[in-house]
Amino acid sequence: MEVLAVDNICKSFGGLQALDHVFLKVGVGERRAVIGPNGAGKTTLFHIISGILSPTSGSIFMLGKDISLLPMYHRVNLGLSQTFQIINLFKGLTVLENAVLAIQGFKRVKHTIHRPLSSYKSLIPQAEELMEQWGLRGRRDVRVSSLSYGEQRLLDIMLAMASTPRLLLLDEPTSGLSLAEISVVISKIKDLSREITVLLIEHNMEVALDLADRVTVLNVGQVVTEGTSTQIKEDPRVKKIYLRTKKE
Amino acid sequence: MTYWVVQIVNGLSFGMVLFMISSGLSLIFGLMRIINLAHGCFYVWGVYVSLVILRATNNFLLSIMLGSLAIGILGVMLQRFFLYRFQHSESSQVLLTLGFTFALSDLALWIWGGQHRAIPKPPIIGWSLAVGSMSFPFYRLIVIVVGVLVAIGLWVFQERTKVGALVRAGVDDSEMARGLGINVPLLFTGIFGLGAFLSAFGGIAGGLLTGIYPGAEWEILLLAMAVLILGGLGSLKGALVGSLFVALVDNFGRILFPEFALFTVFVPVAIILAFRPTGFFGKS
Amino acid sequence: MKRFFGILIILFILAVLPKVLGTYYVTLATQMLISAIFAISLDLLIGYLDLPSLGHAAFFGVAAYTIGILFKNGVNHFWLNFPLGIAVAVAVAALFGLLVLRTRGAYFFMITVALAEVLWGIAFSWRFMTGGDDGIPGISRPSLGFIPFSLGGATNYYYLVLFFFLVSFLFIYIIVHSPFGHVIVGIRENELRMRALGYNTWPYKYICFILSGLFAGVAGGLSVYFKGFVSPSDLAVTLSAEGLLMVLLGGAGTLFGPVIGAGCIIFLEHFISAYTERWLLLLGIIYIVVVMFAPQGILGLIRSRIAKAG
Repeated sequence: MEVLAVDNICKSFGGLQALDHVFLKVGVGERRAVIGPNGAGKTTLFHIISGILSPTSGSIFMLGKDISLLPMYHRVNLGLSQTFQIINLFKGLTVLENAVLAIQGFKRVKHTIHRPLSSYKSLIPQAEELMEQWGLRGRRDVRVSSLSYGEQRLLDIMLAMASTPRLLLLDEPTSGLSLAEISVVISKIKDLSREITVLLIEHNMEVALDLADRVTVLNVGQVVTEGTSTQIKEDPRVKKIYLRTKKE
Repeated sequence: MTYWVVQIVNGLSFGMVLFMISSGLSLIFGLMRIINLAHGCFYVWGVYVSLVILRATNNFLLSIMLGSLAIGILGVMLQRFFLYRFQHSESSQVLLTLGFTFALSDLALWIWGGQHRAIPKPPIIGWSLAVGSMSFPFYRLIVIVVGVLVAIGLWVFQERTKVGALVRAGVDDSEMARGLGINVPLLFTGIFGLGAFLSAFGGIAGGLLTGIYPGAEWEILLLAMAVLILGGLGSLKGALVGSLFVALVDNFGRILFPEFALFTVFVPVAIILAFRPTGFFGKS
Repeated sequence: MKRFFGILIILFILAVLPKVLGTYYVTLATQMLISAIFAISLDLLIGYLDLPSLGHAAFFGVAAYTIGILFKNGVNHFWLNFPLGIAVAVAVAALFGLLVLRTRGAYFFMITVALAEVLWGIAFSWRFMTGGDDGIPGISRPSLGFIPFSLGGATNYYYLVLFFFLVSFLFIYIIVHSPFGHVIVGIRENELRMRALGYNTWPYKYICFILSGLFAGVAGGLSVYFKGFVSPSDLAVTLSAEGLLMVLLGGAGTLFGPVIGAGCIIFLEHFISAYTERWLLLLGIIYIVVVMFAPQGILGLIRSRIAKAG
């Protein structure tokens, strides 16, 4: 059974057809990259999978379950997690506070308003462990707005990983990073357990082909082709799409 | 039958007054994303100032135009020296307008006292126009005509001019707008001034019908907000439809349920809100 | 530690206040405390939910009117009227919350005003029930039933209000520092991310909204017995605006700030009103000055001074 099945998804915004009969299937533990030029519909697709947008037609299945109509938080509770293309963290809070919120999020059913302060405190060790895993322990009490861009990207993924999701959506996780920072992020992603399925959007071809088992190519809202990294690398159609957009 | 037609005319004329006021509020929101709480004060001050001018010049038309212009300038100054400094924070701007409202309304109370002011009506008020077997108050028909002209003027402005297009689109990225050669500060100030002008103008037109009294600025602000909630913020079409709707409901509400006059308008507002939070034509 | 002693000292001052000061100041302090409860209830909305509302007086006034209407119909038992007043405020908040929480920013702002206006209009127009423009005068303070503590004098009523203020403050303080409170802060900081972390944000906002209405109702109930009458001005936009200023002046999102803000505004109002009728003009000017020069409020200013120095 696949982890994710995108079934004939169409999305239009007024007159603009952003996604045009998109089919996608991702298997357990797979690393799937979604690539394509600007405006291809990659982020739109992600938003439909995660629930920020609703499709004009078609369905989404996660772990065999139809999640098309479910609100985002419900999908998250079923094992979905995401990061954002434009950094979307709790900028005014510290790294620790960000971490605690993430952890509390997936344990949230156990916390109610009248629980004493101590139950909040019990989350802190878990938060520390999480930060340790992602190399951010030293920045524990720093406000997110003071972190470097690379640290923010790592924090972004860390928050998404707090719930040990089944399906992780990464939207351009290396965007805006230096070469050194990129290699850190890549190694962190490579270290992820194969119990987690990763779907990632990447603009950086090298990173995408390096990380991915399989690649889906989108252009103008349609799936152009799909294959292994090697196949896509050699595919003349893919080269043409990128070359054409370069010329334009 | 005549009675109902006259009532409809009454409602429509007040609707036009309300349109002039709420269109200003809508324009300001559409461009600057703030609810100008001082809008009701512009209405009231427009009347007071034009009364002062009337007493000095005895020229009715002049006092309307100069009065509205004066308030337009007041609006420009408020925006230029206070609001504009808080470009980045819409909530600060809204709170500033709240402060202005308290200050301006109390100032008006101080200067002009608290009685209900009836505005000396020019003879035009007494005229009536006979159509068939019915006779209509001429002034109210004039107000409707003027209102329609204002509506057309605003429509032309928004749809056919470059400035209007900007107002319609809203200036989300002032950097980019500046790059396109648009003088954003001037635009903002100008539109705020226009909004104030319209409110004062509508105020004088309406003031001739109802007079002015303490608390009028809040009442009209609330009615204008009801209009925008219904019609949708930032939509001129919504302001027109909403104004007519609110005015007619208010008018007939006062006739049918005089005890609840002051809030009959808000009941349909609350109901409509329950189903369409952004109003009929609103852009969020 | 320093904070703890500071609080003890303040509590001590509050407790002995009536022994030291005359009736005038005791009643002034009572009014300050009632306003402080209103202000911290509004802070839940403004400071923690980041929903600036201009309709908060609705909950205050509804509680006051409930008590007034019961009194008018011959019912005046504290342990019946007061909780009922609060219950009605909660019911109204529950209803408003359903309508209002689907909106944000400007719409939210306008809708809160509109809804409060509906209530104001009802109070103003429904003479039969509410006394219309005149309100309901002559509301006497009832006995506390089995508690042998008369509410008649200024001092005793002060202690009642002080009790409810401390209970309310403590309650809200605990809520805000609980996991629930942290979720609320998270929602304020970035609601989308909270949903992406698995939180169903709406119930949190709704409960916070209702709590804010509840405590506004507490303030309203205490106010009506304090003043002895209720009128449409207890539902007016001007009351909501004063509350908003108290929160701003003191510092939104700090709880202590709004208490200070309430004290300042009430003090100023009394002081100024003794010399001139132009209180509203001054209120407007204070608004403008605070927004222009101290948008973080008094507490915010103090904190940034400390941060700069330290």
